[in-house]
Amino acid sequence: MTAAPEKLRILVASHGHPAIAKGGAEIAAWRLFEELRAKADCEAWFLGCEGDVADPHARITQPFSEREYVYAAQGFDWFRFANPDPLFPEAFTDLLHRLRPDVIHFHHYGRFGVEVFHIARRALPGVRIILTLHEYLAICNHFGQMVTRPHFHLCHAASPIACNRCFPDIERERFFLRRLYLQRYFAEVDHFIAPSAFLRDRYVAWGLDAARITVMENAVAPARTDLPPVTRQDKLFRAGFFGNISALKGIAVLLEAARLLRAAKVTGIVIEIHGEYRLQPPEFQAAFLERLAKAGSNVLHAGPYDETSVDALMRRVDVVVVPSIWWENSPVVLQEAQRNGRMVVCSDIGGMAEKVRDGIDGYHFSAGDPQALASLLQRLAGAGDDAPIVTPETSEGATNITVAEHWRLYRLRAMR
Amino acid sequence: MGVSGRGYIDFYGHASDVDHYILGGWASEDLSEMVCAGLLTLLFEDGELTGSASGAIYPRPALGGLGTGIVICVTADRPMRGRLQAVMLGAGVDRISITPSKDGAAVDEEALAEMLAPILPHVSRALPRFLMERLNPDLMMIRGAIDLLGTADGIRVICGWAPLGQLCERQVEATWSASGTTTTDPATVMLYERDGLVAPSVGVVLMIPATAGAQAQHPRDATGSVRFQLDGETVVLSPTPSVQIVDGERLRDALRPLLPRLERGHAHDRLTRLAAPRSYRGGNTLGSLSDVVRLEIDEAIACPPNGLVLLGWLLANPSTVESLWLHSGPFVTKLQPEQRISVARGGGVEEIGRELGLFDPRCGFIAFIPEGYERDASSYLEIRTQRGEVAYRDLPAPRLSGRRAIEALLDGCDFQYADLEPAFDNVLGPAIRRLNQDRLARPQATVTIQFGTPHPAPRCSVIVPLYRRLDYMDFQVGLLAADPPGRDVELIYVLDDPPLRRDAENLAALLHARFDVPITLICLAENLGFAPASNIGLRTARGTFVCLLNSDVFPQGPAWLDRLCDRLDTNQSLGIVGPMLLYEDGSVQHRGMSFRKLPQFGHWFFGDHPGKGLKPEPGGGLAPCLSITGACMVLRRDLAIEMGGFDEGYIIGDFEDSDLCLRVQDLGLSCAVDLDERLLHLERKSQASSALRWRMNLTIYNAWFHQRRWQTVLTGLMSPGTT
Repeated sequence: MTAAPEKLRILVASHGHPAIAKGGAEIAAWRLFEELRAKADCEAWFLGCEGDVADPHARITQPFSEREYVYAAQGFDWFRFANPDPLFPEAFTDLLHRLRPDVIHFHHYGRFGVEVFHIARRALPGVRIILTLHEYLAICNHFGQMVTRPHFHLCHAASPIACNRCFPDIERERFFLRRLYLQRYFAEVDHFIAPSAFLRDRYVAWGLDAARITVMENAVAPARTDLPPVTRQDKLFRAGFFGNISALKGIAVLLEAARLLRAAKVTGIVIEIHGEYRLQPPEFQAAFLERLAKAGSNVLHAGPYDETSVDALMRRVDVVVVPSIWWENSPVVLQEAQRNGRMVVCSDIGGMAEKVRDGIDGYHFSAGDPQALASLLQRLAGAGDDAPIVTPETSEGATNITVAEHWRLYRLRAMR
Repeated sequence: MGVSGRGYIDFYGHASDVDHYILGGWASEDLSEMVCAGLLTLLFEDGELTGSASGAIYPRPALGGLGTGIVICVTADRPMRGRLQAVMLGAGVDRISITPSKDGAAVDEEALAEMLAPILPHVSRALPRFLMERLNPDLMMIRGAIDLLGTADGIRVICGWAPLGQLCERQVEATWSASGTTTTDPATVMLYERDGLVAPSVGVVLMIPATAGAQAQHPRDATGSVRFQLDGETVVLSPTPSVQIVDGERLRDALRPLLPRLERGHAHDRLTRLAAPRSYRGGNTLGSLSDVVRLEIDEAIACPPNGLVLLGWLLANPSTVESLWLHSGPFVTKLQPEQRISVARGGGVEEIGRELGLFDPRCGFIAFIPEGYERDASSYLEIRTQRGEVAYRDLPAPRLSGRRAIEALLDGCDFQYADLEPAFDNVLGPAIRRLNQDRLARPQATVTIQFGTPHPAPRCSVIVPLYRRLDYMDFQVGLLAADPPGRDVELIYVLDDPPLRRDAENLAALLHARFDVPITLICLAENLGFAPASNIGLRTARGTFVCLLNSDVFPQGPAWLDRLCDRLDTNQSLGIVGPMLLYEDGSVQHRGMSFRKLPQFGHWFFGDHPGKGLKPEPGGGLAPCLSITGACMVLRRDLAIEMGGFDEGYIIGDFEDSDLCLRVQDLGLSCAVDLDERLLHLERKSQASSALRWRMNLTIYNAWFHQRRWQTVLTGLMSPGTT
């Protein structure tokens, strides 16, 4: 009788749960969990969170499947990512003692609090703790976007002085303490994953050890294979925007570019906007709807979409436009465009510029410049020699590569 | 104008301290008015002196109508030499002269003063003030009378009257002179309109606070007098022959009638405090204390037979109040410090504290006096201060009892850690215990309504208290009735929520009609709580077994109850058995209870549900445990009766289940969860929200009650190494 090969035990943890609320980090964590769960040599569990549950049955419960746990968070300090719940340490420790994972992979540390790394280390001294960094949250208090308040200028580095300028009500000292606090707990993480080199560099500049960060994409769903080929009746050039409709996603740049095209009497270009605007502040919603009403027939707001329909919608457009006016990191929309073979037009900054190679996977335009975007779309619609249509390689195995990279990292026994 | 009068100077001299020549004599009537003002020249042998003159006339009856006495003052910065020859009055043609009489003589200053002495009282108002003040200050005083004199709380009070012609309040330095000694102290003087006086006389009240000097010179006789300066005037008050000299209570009695006549203000407040009666005569006399003490009683709650709970607040400097005493009928009871616990008190009291300069966010209190209250007797609080002063505070009549009283008691407190144990041991615990006993001692009126014909000899009686939510009953009866019809089960619902009686009757009728199962509905006349409601059901039950069940527990299939009864039938050492209970999402709500000590709550034992919220672990059979939940427990009826059901000392619903399990284990029987039986439990949703503070504190009360009974047993059971 031979002993079965020992399975690697992995707990994937995220600040949300896709069955409760869908956000980038929790979807990435969930995708990863699904991939790991499918592996024969892996025992995987998922720990999600739900915020401010009134009167929960217990702190950590199993409302879903046997392999899923949900922590009912009770209040949270989103400034320094500290968890004030006195019952969390014991509940989390009990769970770790029950599951005995070899690796805990955190996507995000919201709701758990950065102290979670220490609690994990105390509960299981030998456990390997991995953290995928989402956005620039530890660096920047402005939702981790690294754009200034209130005017959304690009920010290149955080400092107590600079951050205090964005948040005049928060003293410089508190920004110093915030960083001190976060770095004290980040020190207990064995290895970090940065979805883009750009993000890695920002975190290294902020103070993380470069040797402890690896650039690795988030796992995304594979492209749907059940879709019929797209047949187009018209000769229109369709540029599609996919994502939450917000100021930082550059929606104003896109609408202004549409207005410039119409003013220049350019026909034959249609801009489709796919996404939800009702998650934004009321003033933004009002401004968006007003602009939309004034936009001409070359703009179409198609409403929200979800991950089951995105592939079909993308295949109907000629180009995916990503006009974000913040750095981005590794926006899912780029991976979605790639797996559907769509060319991308994006701002020439940060993670977007890194992931989309100018002239290979698509084209860059000067971030925040509607005229540049309008000209670029016009040239692409004309498909002249100066801007030929390019088709990015669709790598069917992107997810497999990502999972394999993760797996390699999980198996490294000596991470530090 | 012709002037023909005559005048003579009897004496004259230079008063160097006032730089005046002063001349005394007499003049005929027509001259006399001229001496009082104008230029005047004194002719001396060696020269003359001219200066402005002032003078006064006074009656000299000895002259027999020839004239009046005169006193003339002439400014002169130095004495002249030689004899006075004449005094020239007036100017020009009216110039007349007065000559010294033949006995008229120059006198030295001492003699001058002697000669002036008998005259000055008659001319005091006519001569310049500064002169009079120098010549005889006594004559310039405003004189008044003292008709009431005494001391209370170390404050000397002097009442009388004086011709002061105004109404005001002033701080002064008052000098008391008696028997050759004088003391001077700061004092408050109040002038008021006093009946029976003619203007300019007004009533005078002087308060001289206690000082060493004032104490030593207690004015016990009527020979002294008090003097003070008021707006530049010297005022002297002297006792009348009939002056009333009283102290303490009699002084207060004498002062109180004055109070309405005095202007309101700070001094009035002080006098009011001073005058407040010191023996209890109803009302609040805290204002009479020298120190600031505010004591308000929000609620007095009788805890029969002779206990009293006081909810209120007390604002005073920490060292001010020496003790509090409850007077009630024959009882006089000192409130021991540990019987008064501090609690946070909002409702604007903080604001009052700030105004008084007393910052105490926990100025609220809950006090419990176990023995010392007689319900229908006159009751009040006595407050003694460190100074030795005493004040009284009346008490509101008790109005709360039973559940409302317990709520009021628990709503205001938030004890944890070090505060918790003394609060419950000394105040909350014993008080609530009494209130609960009193509540349950009342006759419990019930109405029993039978729907359908009950089974003649049920194997098991299911007893379900109903509270707040009736809608669960619809689901529960439906699921219970899914068992084959005709089964030997008796269904007893106990409605512990009187306002819902009509709804419950209608619903029971509907469910009986729908499922044709007999239902016994017992309606309570007041809300008693889980333990009493279950016990009332138990007394009605006829089954061999009873199943004590919550209204939000639902079976998932048939025959579960029979199988649980079988467990008891086949296992004689098993006292109580229950099923595993699951939440709606299939995770564990209950698979047996253990205990854990909660540090914030006195390290007392609280029920702990291992595996709660997680998926059930594999495995079945009977799992022995220290306790099982009262949400669903099955036991022999005779055992339940022998145990007296749930202990009703647990109020509303907590801990009575583990108490029953521990008592059953005391008999040598065991408790277990049957892991093969799984029912749904929508735990606590049928209970009042735990967000209510009094409800949370009631759980702590129940924990305290449980702890005091079981701490030794549980400490033994829970210590490592014991099984």
